[in-house]
Amino acid sequence: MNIPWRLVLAHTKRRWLRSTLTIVSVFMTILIFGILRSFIVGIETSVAEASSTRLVSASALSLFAHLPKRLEGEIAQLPGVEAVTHWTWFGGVYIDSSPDHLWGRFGVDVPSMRKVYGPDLILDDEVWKRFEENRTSCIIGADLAKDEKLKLGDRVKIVGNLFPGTVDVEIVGIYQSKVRSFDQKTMFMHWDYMNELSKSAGGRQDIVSTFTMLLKDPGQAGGLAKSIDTNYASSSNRTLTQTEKMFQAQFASMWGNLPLFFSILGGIVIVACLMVTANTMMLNARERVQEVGILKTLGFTPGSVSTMALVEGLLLCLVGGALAMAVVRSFDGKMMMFTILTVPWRTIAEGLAIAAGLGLLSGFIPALLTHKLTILDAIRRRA
Amino acid sequence: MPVPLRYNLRSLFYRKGATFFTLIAVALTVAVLAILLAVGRGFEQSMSLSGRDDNLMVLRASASSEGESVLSREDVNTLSGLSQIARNAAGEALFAAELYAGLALERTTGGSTNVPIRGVSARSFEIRDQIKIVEGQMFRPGSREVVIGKNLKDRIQGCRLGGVVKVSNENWQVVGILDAGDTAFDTEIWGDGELLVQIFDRTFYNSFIFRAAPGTDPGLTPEKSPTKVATGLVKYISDRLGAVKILSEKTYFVDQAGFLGGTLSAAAIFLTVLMSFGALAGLFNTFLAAVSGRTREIGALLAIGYRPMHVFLGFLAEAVLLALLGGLLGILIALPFNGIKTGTTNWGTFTEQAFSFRVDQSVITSAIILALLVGLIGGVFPALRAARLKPVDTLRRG
Repeated sequence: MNIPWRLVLAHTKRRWLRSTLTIVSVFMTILIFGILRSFIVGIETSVAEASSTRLVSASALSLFAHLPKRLEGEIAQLPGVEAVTHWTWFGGVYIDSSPDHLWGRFGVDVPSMRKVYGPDLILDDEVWKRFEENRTSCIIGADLAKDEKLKLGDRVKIVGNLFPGTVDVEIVGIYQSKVRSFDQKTMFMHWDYMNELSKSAGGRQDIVSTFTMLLKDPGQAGGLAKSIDTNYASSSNRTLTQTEKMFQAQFASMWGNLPLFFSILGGIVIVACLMVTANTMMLNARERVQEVGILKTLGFTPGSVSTMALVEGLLLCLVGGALAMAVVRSFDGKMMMFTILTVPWRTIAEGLAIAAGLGLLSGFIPALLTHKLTILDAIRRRA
Repeated sequence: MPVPLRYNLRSLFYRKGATFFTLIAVALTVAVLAILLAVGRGFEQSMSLSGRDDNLMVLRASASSEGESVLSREDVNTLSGLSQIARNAAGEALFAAELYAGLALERTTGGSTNVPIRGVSARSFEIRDQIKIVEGQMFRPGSREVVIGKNLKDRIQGCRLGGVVKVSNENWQVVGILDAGDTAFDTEIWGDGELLVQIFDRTFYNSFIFRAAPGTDPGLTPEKSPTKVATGLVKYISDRLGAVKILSEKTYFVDQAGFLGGTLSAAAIFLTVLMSFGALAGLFNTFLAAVSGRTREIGALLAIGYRPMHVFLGFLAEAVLLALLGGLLGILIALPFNGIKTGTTNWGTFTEQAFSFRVDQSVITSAIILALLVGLIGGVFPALRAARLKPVDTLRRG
């Protein structure tokens, strides 16, 4: 079947305003789809790329409660544990308490952090060393540096609330992350330093938020998690130990129905767009009834005439879809609502497939009508 | 004389296909806006109604929410001696030192969340007099019992009358369900403060709340309206126990709404702007095609004496009418969402926040305004084109 491409192009150009508007509608729709999808994929990826060979222990009460630091020694003694490190959520206020300045800041133990999380991060040995040696230093993620316009050597002051006292630390390193489960919008400082500050201000001391264990044999994760939790089951520090993957999944599930809700809205948006593209194709078909008659008289088969209608719709939608996905792709890796927007090729393919689907569906009825139209009817009828 | 509206109305039914597609496109756009606004409204409503103006909360100056505030027992002792605290009929001072934390519990639909748990004291209920126990009874002080907000019921595992929630390694019995009039308290679990402070292994409370006594010493009390807390009181307390802030309970909850509320309204604006473009394009295309398809009709109208202005208004009215019909349909699509309960994490406090979709008057007004705008903007250019046609040209053609 031969498709007269020049005719298809001429058609789209003839009603250029209509074609442009249709392309822009598809563009907006696929843009909405792409952004919503990259958000949901981002949440999923943060779980998927999390390690299942590291274990995280937190208080079984909730992330609001702490564990005593002294458990570190006990956990390190357990067979199968290669290394233990700990993170403590500092909270506090940087500049003001607006959402813009609400990012994670943790107190950590540098040498063990390097052992357990080092492989996930891009950070020079020298920087690790500088971080370790300077008690009032910190490292921050590359996104954080960008968003807060911070650079090496700058000092960061955070007024404590959970832990009293104001931390004042120098940025000695800016890390990048190799995995999407480790965001680039966090600050790490010395736990010793924040603990001392809190202690001298009469606040809480010697507590941590979570312990992370690196295992000798990943196969033992399940057994080890169980033995840690049984150890502390009857104490006042009941623990909940999970793989890092499960730990991340808990944050993902905190969104509740929101991702589903946005998916449903995304679906409605696509249907609305179908109405717009279908309308365009129907209007086109209606105006071209006589032309169809002429084309058929000239010897174009019914098949190629209706394929033209299909191809035209497909073309408009694919142009809009491709432009939108190009924009969406540029969002890859950006943070939105605590989530790293993630745009794999799969999402791009989905966006293009939806655009193609819009094109085919909207061209379908016009193509069918065109196919059935006899020459006589077509030429007799007035546009 | 204006073109009879009946002409435009009947024209809408002439091109059934185009009218239908455009109608649905506008309806879906309006529906998405209405649904998004309904979520935002429901959430904001639950927060803005939560507190009273004359209940004052004392928090650490650097704390942006209750969970981040730390008040020692001595602090609480000092605060309880304030002369600005109102008293009830029995002469008891209306204040409460409270614990606020998250309790990791499972949603019934799967996945875990941090449900806010409030450790309360004897006067907590009296201070929030809008809260009522609607099922079961109050927990007994000193016992491992809790009452839960009605929005938790059946959404969180164990949250029903006679159910059990796990607090550390103990099972606490759910003995009552409270109704706080669709406010933030309806997502909270309330239990004995003293016990919970021990369980959370703490030596401190999070917040201190008291009912302001009317007309106390002007230097220390809020002037006139209790929401405007005089700096005197803040200074008086800060001098004794370090920097604090005092805000009305109502202001506190409105502030807390900002984080999630802001996200939701940003999402609503973003989606609506992008989507409206589709609806606009649909309307625009439909009417441009209508004008060119009805060229001869328009010529005839102008020839028999209708003014271009009337033709313009007629077409504009037709577009607005179609958009408004779409808008009404959109509102009908959004209406069944009214009252549906949902919950997500308010990342400002890190805790679960349940609320209902609210398709109220303000949501419906916004939806109609959007439909009107789409109709006006989408219709104005085609209508102009129609009005500019020359009768002679149009009648000669075809």
